[in-house]
Amino acid sequence: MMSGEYSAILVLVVITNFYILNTSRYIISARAIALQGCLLSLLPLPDAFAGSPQAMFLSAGTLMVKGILMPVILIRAIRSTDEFRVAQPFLGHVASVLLGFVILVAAFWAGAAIPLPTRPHDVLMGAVGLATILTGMMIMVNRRKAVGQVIGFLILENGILILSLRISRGLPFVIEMAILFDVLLAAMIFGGFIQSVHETFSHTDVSRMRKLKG
Amino acid sequence: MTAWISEFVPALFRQWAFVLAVSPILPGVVAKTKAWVAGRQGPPVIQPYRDIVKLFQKGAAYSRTTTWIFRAGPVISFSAAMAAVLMIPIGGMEAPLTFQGDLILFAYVWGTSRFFTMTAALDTGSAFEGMGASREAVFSCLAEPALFLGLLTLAREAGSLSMSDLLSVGLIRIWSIHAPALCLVTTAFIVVFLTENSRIPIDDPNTHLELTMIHEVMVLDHSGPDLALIEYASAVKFFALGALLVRIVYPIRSGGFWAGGAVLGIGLLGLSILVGVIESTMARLRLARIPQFLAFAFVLAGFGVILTLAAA
Amino acid sequence: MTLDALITQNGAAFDAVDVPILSPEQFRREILDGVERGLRITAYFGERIGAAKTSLVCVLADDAENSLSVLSCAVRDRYRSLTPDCPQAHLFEREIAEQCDVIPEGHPWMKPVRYQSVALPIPGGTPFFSAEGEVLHEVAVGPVHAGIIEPGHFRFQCHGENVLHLEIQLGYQHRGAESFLETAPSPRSMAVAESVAGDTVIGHALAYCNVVESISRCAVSPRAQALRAVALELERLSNHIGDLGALCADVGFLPSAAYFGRLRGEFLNLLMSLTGNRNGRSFVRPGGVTFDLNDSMPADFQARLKAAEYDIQSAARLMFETPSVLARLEGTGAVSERTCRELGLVGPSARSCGMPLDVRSDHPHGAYRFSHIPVSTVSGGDVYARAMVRRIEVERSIQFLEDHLHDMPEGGQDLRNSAGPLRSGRMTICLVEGWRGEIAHVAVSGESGVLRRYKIKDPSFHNWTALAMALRETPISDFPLCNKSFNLSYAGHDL
Repeated sequence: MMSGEYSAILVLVVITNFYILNTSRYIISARAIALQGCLLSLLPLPDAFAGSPQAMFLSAGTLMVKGILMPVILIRAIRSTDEFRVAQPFLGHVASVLLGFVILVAAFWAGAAIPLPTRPHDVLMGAVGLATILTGMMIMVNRRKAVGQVIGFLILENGILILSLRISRGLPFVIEMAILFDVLLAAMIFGGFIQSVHETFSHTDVSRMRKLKG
Repeated sequence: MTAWISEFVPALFRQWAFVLAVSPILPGVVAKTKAWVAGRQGPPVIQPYRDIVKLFQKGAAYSRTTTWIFRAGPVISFSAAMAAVLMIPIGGMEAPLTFQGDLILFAYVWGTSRFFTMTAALDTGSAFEGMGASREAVFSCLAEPALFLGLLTLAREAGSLSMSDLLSVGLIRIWSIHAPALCLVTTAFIVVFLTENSRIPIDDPNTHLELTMIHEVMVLDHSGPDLALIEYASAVKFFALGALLVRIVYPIRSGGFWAGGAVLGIGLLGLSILVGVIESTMARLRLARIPQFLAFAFVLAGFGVILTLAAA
Repeated sequence: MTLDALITQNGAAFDAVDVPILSPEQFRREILDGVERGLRITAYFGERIGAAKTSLVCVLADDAENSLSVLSCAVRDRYRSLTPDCPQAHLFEREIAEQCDVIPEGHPWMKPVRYQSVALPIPGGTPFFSAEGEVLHEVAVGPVHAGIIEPGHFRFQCHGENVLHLEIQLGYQHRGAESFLETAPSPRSMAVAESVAGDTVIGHALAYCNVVESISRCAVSPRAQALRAVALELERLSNHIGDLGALCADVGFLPSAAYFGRLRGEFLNLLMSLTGNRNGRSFVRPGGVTFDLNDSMPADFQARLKAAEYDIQSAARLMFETPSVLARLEGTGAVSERTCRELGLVGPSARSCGMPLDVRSDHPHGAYRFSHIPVSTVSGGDVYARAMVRRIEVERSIQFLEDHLHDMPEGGQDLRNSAGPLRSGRMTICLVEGWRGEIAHVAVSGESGVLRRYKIKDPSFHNWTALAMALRETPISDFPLCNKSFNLSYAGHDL
């Protein structure tokens, strides 16, 4: 694969991050997550074509778990709560997009500073991985509804995947797959969690859960 | 000196003649595309020419509460548009007006035009026009950084602050190195283009609802030749900013003025059809969400800058 | 606790003297108690009886019990206003004040409803509610508008783009519809009834005919009843579809706007095939209807309905599944269920707040007694909900028409019975669910077959206030969209 296409994938990952920051519709966020998962599954392909069956498995696994399974679970959970219409973040959309931009700049600065053995486009990869992790964290903090936290978590996981691809080319693929299934498990638990919270309180607004104590 | 004049003056008039002849057809094509998608026949594509001719033949009505500023608004916005098009290179030649930094002038000529349109609107003292002016100020404020960041990306790679150098063969080299960055800049420019030309999803040029308008409400009180100038100026603006986009996406630069002009014209027709399709398939954004949309464009352009910097 | 009032039903006639005359205090308490228990003020008007004496009549609708309660009281020139305790009464009391010269004491916002006489202040001639402050500004729209619409003045108090308060002043066109109808029924009075609101021809004509038939004790054949219901539903369909298209046009979404525009024409054409007029004029007449369906027409209608239904579904799906359209509709101009109750909203506006109010099932008349249409409610009270209610009602009306056309009652000779003279001293209340909501016509007949008092209430009379409430804390740029989502009648208000 050419480096131009490789960086194009990473650029698209960043754009999906901003798209999710910018939208208030959870169904659309979940679809963007699906797209992001599909994009990530393309990243190990160069290694796979270079003759690594592990990379091939990783790519297929990512596509299955992050591109298909988790978004489907998430969309189901969102639909079942009947709260998929509009979501208000704590911080306004414009502010969160601009904050996302600051994060991106910081990630590029930090990504360049990390002293690791580099191959071409590794700088970009490290930066995008970092930015994705930070964006996911920001979304987790910034959303009121439990669905928002799950979306943030999934983005964060995607960032970790990118970063792990960048840091550890030779990491045993068993570990990679294990992480994938961990995430899948987490998504399923979250899905159930959203539903049961919704059934119990008929809303999933975490900012209103402070009243629960005592 | 005389040699310069004998070279400059014909180029100048040739450029103006071309722009004035071509630009009104573009809104006509947008309208035709929208009508076609909606299953209607729609007005003929040359309708904008007829409208402009008709309006020039009419008299203008002026409110007693307005001053010379109200009358100056349309003239200045038209002049600004005419000045800006001089900086756009057509075909293989340099633009009639070119110097280091004309890029910034290009961006700010539109600012001047906007300033006078807004003051003319405020001069009427109407609450509607005041609201329109306030909205225009806010949204153009947000669109401008995206435009500048995008131009900055291009200027950095081209190593020049002149439009003619920027939109030269060098762009092909930049595309081959920084394709993702240029894609981002192009997307940001499309948003800026839609904003500056008051198209859906930012503004709806066809609505009759004063309370929702942005640009249209500011020119409600203008009539006759003034309105014709405003319509003409907005067509020229569509041409100028559209030409910037077309030249970035299709950076081949060869041939004479007319061959290049023909290529540019075809590109602009394609852009008009694209705008028509966008307008047909999207609803207008809620006014409060427009800043969000523009912030997104800003971030895209900014990301473009980062990518080119990181690659260096 | 029972109300000290006459209990009656939609379309039933009774002797006017049977209506209990309470003391003003008792009258007030009964209304407040009733509203507290969830009844709605359906009509509330005054009638002059003798010198310096006015009888106030109030009709309360009990939607759960399918009944109407009528009560009255006699007052001289002033009484204690209900409005501070019961906001529903607001416009009614203003109307009574200018029609009968009775002053409701303590009314918070005494202004003209419509032009009555040179002696009274004219609409727009009184000061508007205003807010003071450096950062506030006022926007005035109308009474002459940019589009070709009727006159109405809207005064916004804004903080930046947000509306703090909207005051709506209508009444620029007083046409004297009620006084025209306060004579013996004549061909001309039918034309007046049909013109109360030009887009609700069948609705108002039907209410008027029900009144005349009820007072003159004239029977209407089942087939004529069925044809009236068909016409009423066709009117609802064409208007609802037109509204959906207009909503799309307002948000700048062209494909659905164009489709709905064409589909509205389909239903107008169906109405024309049935009545000979695209708006359904000259169809409903006292005693029945003027045209029948021939043998081949029901099948033809069904085929046209089927085709239109398919197109409506695809256009509606496009509209309700495009994210940019939903983003505009959702959460815009929300009216809470509490506000809806307090203001006594009716029709799709009330149903979009989750209130199951529908005359067709709460107070059925004519063909609706035999075949029910499910009430379509949506919660949320925003523009989306109002659009959604229309979409569901369109589907259900088409379903109703298809069932109905399949199974029309036999008949044909008695399509139009002669109505006969009005009996004297009778009173009746006739409710019809027009496409905007509950139309109420109340009539009291006097001696020798004249109508002593005729009161018309268009659903817009309730719902205009809801538009003002919907705009609070909403960006002013969303006003046209909210306005379209209610699509209220100026003419129905400015009788």
